[in-house]
Amino acid sequence: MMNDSGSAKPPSPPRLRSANLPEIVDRPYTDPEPFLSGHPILPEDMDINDFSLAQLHEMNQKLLEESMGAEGPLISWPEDISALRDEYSNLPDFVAQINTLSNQGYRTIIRVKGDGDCFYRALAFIYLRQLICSASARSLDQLSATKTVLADAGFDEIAYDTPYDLVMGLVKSDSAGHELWNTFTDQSTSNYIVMYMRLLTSAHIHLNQDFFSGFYQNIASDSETSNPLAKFRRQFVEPLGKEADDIQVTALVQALKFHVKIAYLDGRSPNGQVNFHDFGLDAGDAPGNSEPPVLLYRPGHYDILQKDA
Amino acid sequence: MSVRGPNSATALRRLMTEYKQLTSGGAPDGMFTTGPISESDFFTWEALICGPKETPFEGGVFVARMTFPPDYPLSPFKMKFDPPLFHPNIYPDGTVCISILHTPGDDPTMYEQASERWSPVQSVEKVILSVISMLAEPNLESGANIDCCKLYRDNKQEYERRVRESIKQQLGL
Repeated sequence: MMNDSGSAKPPSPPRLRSANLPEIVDRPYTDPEPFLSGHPILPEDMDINDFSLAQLHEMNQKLLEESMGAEGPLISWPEDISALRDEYSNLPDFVAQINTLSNQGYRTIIRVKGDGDCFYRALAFIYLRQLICSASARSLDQLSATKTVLADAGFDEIAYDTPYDLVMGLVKSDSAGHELWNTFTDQSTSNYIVMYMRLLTSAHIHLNQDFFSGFYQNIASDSETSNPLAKFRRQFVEPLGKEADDIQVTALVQALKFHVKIAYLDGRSPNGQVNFHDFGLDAGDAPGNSEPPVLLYRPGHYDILQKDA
Repeated sequence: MSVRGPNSATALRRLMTEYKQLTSGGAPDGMFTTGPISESDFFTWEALICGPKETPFEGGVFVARMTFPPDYPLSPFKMKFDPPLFHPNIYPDGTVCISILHTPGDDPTMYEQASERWSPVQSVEKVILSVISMLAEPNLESGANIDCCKLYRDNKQEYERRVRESIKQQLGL
């Protein structure tokens, strides 16, 4: 695209050579700037393998940002997965994985805005949609049980009452389709739902400290505070805009007593294979009759993946 | 109610709940009273705060105005003393600079990383209590009034004298 296919590669810059040092880079160094500063279009004379892992990661992040622009809605209308494939057309490892998903029947993606709340928003959407669709007294019980979790964790009632009423009202209103989508695209309503999910996540971590302190040591080592988990909840769980790590994902799915599969689209598996991870399903549990909803994970971002539009 | 778009209903409900709780429970030790300035605008509150005992602010009663965003409590409110207070963490225009009123991503002074931040679990009551302890113990690392910070650090007696002086003036003594 940028060069004729016949043109030579850029000359390699002078490098230090020493017979005593092993040769690490066996390809001429190429300055990443021209590719990364713009849309990552691969020049025809370059192969994807010419890029380092770090460069690939950066290109992926760039794509993510463009794919999830600041202008987009909080939750998109279902889109054909081919749109996603087109965005990755220069990254064959991603395309292979997207094809795998498509062949497994996952043909639709609902995009969630990449604003740091995407996991909470995506999970809340599929959770509430499922509650509303199942339309039973049991689903109302399930939801009201989450309020008990917040009370048990010692949260002040004023902190969770209003968002709880909002979420409960939504489930009772029985509006699964277009209306639910409308609700989730309305900035403030959508964010109150996210807020409820965040409080619930925080409460669940607090009530299961023994379990979660194991996770926590992997995330940060802050031994100076007497209760690092409390600080973690305050700084990285409760405030809006803070991305969810494994600990938050695990906690929220557990707190909702939900079961979700997460498909990992990372462009790093051989043969385009896609790994699915089950969350909220104990090792001994038999998988339910119905297939659990699926989130699509790209490093740093969550969307919703589904089989039918 | 005032025009704030259709989406501030949740914020309004939350503010009414907080107000109800504050009026039924009463402030601890009667250190402050607060509420909306009028029934037609629940998004602007006023607080009367008593100067904490055994500080130069003792004996004073200070008026602060709080303005709430339409997406409260997702975003914090703003708090401004009117008239302004002479204090290291209060801007000369009266606006309070305290970590609990900043979201974790918003760190104007870069010194607040370890301190308590705004999140929806905070409330008017918790913030005012934090402001009262801030009156007693200024935080020089995140100063808002630089002259006042200097004076506090270099000549604390003079700082205290000026605070007492302003309170006397305020009370018309």
